[in-house]
Amino acid sequence: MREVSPPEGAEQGGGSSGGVRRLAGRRSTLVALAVAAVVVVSAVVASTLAVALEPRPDATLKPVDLEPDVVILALLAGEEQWAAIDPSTLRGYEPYGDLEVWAATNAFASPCLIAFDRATNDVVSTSCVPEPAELYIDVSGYSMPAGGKARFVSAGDALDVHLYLPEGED
Amino acid sequence: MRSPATSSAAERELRELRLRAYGPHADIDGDPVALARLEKLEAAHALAAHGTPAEELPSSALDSPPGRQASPVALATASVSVGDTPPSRTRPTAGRPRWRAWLIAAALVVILGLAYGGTRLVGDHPEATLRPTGAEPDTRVYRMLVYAPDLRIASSTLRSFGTYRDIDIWAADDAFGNPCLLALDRSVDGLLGAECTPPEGELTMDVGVWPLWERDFGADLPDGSVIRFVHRGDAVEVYHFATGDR
Repeated sequence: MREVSPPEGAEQGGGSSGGVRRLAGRRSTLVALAVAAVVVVSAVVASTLAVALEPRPDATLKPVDLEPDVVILALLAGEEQWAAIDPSTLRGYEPYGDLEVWAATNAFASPCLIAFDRATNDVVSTSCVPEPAELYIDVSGYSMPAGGKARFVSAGDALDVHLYLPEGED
Repeated sequence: MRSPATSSAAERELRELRLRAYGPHADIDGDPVALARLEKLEAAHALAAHGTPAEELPSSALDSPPGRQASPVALATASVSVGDTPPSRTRPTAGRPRWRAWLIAAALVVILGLAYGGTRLVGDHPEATLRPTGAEPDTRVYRMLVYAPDLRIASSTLRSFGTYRDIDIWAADDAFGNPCLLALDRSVDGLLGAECTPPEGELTMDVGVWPLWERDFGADLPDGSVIRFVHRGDAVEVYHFATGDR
């Protein structure tokens, strides 16, 4: 098999069959870079869109420095003991209407949310779910129209509140 | 035999084509005919540079003006003249624009596919997907509605999604038109969960494996684990969140 050597002028003018191959290599690299750029840009756009299209919370509750009182502690040790919530881990959030919402950790190391009605001294909703599940509690009533509900979703240190109304109540 | 005039014209043409290929305003990529012609001239030039007598060069390779196809015989001759050089080493550039277009199209398809499926690929995958079974509710199912009077579930809308780990799963609508999910443990005739959520929210129902609960389900899951049922379209997806997984 005979090798085809670079022709004369390849070095001076840059033109030759070797030059054609170099051009092909350069073009392939450019195409690969372009594809990679498109992938990166698309990923950024997709993640931005995903964040932008995510439903905005109707309210956000921040943590507050609040100590649990004996009423809550008694409820957690009584009718809510099934959740095995560790009372020493209770952390309060800003109130939402008549509701107090608390975060905690249970005996299985799962994060928990508890909605407590101070007016009636009732635990309205409790949820403990192992990570990485989304942790939320749903509450109906409390100034919501019939058939509607408020969903309190754990969002880092804060709580996002989403209001869901039945169709025709918008 | 090639005349000096022909040779000079070919060299001029080669220079012009090289300019179109490597010059500051290179545009030869969009002209496959010119590109093929350049390859042909380069091959002939390479042979000439290595002392191949000009008489042996395929005159057709030099004489074919741009824009006109050389005859198949001439192309074959030229191919043989450059020795054992595989055609694939010089031909790919002629088809590159089309190849590149296909590559970009394929990349876009892949990107769209990734964007569409990315969240599903990255997100949790259901342990199971339940479909409507068409089973009719019996009296035990109707009876469990008594345990959730606040939900105002329309019993005529009950639809079975079968049984998952001894848990009966039913869907229904409430009096407000909201979709609902219900979980029944037949072993204790108990309602394990009942949720109704307006359509703008995701309808989910958690059933916990709590040691203090009398139950038959979830014996193989660690205490504190949660089975989450998510209503999506005409299916119910089941997710497990076991304690100790993280």
